[in-house]
Amino acid sequence: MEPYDLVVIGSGPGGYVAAIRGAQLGMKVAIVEEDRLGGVCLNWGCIPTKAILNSAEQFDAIRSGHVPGIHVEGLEPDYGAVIDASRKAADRLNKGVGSLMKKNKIDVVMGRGRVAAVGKVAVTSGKESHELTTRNILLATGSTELILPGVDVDGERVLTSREALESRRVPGTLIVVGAGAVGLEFAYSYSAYGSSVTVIEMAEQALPGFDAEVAKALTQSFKKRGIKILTKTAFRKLAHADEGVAVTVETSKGEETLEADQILFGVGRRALTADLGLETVGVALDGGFVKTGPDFRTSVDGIWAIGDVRGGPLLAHKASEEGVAAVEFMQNERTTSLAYGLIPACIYCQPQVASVGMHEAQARDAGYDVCVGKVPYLASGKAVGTGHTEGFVKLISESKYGEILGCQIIGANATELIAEVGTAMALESTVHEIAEASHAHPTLSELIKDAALAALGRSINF
Amino acid sequence: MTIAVSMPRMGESVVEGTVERWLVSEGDRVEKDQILCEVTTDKVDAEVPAPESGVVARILVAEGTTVKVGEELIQLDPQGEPAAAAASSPSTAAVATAGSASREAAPAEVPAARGEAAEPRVSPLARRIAEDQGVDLGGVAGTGPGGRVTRADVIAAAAAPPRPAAAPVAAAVGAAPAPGTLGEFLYQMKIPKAPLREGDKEIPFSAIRRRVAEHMVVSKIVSPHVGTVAELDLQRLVALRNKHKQSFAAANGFGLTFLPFIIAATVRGLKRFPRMNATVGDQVIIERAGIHVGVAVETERGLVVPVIRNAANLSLVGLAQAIEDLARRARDRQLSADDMQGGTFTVSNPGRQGNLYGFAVINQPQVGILRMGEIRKRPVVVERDGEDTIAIRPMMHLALSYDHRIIDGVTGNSFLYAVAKELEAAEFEL
Repeated sequence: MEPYDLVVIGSGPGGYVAAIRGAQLGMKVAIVEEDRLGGVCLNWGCIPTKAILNSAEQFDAIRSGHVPGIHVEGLEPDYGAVIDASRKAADRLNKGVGSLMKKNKIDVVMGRGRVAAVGKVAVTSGKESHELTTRNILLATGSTELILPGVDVDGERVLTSREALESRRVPGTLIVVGAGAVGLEFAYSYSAYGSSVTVIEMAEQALPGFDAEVAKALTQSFKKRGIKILTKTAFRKLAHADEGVAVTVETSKGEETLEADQILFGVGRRALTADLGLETVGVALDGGFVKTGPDFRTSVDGIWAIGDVRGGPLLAHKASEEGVAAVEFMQNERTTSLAYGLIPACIYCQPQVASVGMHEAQARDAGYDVCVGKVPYLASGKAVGTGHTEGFVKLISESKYGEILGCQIIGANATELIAEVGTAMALESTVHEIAEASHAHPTLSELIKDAALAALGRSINF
Repeated sequence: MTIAVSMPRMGESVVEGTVERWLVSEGDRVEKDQILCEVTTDKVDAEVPAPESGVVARILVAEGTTVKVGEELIQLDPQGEPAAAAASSPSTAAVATAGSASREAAPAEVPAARGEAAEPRVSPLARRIAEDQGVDLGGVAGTGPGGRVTRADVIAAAAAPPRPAAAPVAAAVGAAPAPGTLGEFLYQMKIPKAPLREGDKEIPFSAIRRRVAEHMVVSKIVSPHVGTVAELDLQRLVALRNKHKQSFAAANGFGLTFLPFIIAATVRGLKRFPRMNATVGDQVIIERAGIHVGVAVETERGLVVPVIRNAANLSLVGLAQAIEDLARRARDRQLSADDMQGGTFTVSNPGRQGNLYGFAVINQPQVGILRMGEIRKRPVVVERDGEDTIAIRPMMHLALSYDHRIIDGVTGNSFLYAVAKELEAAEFEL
């Protein structure tokens, strides 16, 4: 077999995108996947959870009578069908990645990939093993759910997102550990299907690291839906109790015990670096992640790393961007790293939360003369017309030039709306250009324009 | 056969001048009296007109060059044919994009030149920062996608030492301000510049406009201005003028205005209050021996302030003749640098209509300026035979701006009151 230009280990949103970019640049590429093409994102993360959340939203809307003109007698949840639909969506995209590989003439090698030596990747499948020779190795193995010490994930009473995505059961009561993206999305879906959910979070606010105002709005909205979020509450230990679990937590007032049918951990992820052969060639790690430079080179020539395995925000789109950039660096098609400040972060519960760039406090800490253009969804005709009046847009800019520093949105379609601001920032637009641009009426996107106008002190609708 | 046009004489003390800006290019057709170039000296700004109609054969002196009075600047060919395109000398090529003549000829091309040809692609944020910081985008290498000039590029360019660019051209297209100009001054003050929007008309500063603008800004910063206004009943003065109007016009060949009376009264006031006829030195007040009154005159070309020398030695008729002489020479562009120098106080008469009163900006390095308001009939309370009664009187407001560094309220008010009383009393020899 002739040597490859690039062997990618891992076919998640980082790896498969990197493979395609390599092929586009004329490289001969192989991609090694142990499980399913598409990685966690497509099979056990972003995609199936969105299928579940979509059903949860629809069910929630009809059940709560939020959609005028639809009255359903005997509305019954069928969570099993939701899980089935989510698996179908994942399967479909999994096949889609397969055909993309074929279209780009990328060799898909199923099996466990390990770095055997510089320029050598050993692939083991069952008892069989063979070696691929390559100029470049790209580590794109991603991450997996972090499991706290002393916690036995059994898939029955104790779950992570991985188990939850295959569990057809809706628990009567659920404790979610961690008020980050994973925790909040599952809290929302299960609550929509009838669970009584309590979220515990160690930090001072839900959505640690996000804008405090957004976190507060989300906490209030969840409270209205019957989801409790307990902040400054740390998980201590877990025991079985009757049919469910007894969870010991620590608050400022001391320890207390919460009981529930199930507990779901969304406490973070760890990089998949073990058993990759990294130590055999001496690839350096840093805090559990593969250490790389801004050009995605590891400490060993010819070995590169992208995505969750190299750390940073653990986001599929960030991995994809890094995959493209790393391959371009390999081929000397690129000289600058990614604009990490422009990578959006989205949470797909209702209300949705989306953020790009800096939030207000970060911008102030960075020393900017900050201007906040804040507009509530109530100011949008579209939002009122469609009954999505919850939420607001905060556009953060700098006062002198109107440089856009960031944007936070909480509310319907926030995760779609944020792209406009990200694009504007990438183009170095200012609030003036957004304010000038015509936005179709009635759309929620008018909120972005209004926020820009608000930043300029001439908001029309608010 | 060509005619040479030389650096003109601009006054006794002016020996050289700098060609600030060429308004014509080689090959251009020019008419008699058309302005060829703007010239600046340390004393005065002037324009050089064409002595004859013709075609510009050669421009001999590049913009920014200082030459002695009498040296040749340009050659005109009275029989020449206009060229299709400008010649290739760098100064004339620059004029072709920046000169007002070419702008008027092809105004539609100006935005295109700004947006496309002259500049690389620039991000909106980069453009705003460049406008604010006075960075010439034409000289910035873009590192963004497709060579786009980004925020980082402009900030790097702003931090770099300024390039020795041709200052007048750069100023005309809104680029890096030349040292010592108003643009540079504003840049230092971090005043944001207004971005040029579509449809806006950009009128480059003439040399005189630039000089005036700089002077106004400097004066407002140097002198803490205080304004005070007097209301004058000019019944006697109007009667006096009316009485002598016809005989004066017959004797002198020009009309008798109120201005010589104002100046005469001002001179009397300055004699009584020498602190108003002063200047501020380094930790000292310099009270001037001579009284030389500047008269602000607005001309087609802009504001000029010729000076009536030794105004205290002139009779009212003498003052009127001096004013007439200066005004005529200002209109005919015959004022020299010497005519503008040495004023110790200024009177401004900005015209009557719609001008109740207003405060003028002090003409540095003087410390006071009087500004006339309109004369209008008003009902006023007057005392007649020991009784108050309402009368119709021609009233005028006279506003004084004074420099509070060396003049306090009592002095300022007393001076203005003295001038006002002189005018109300109207005791002038005609």
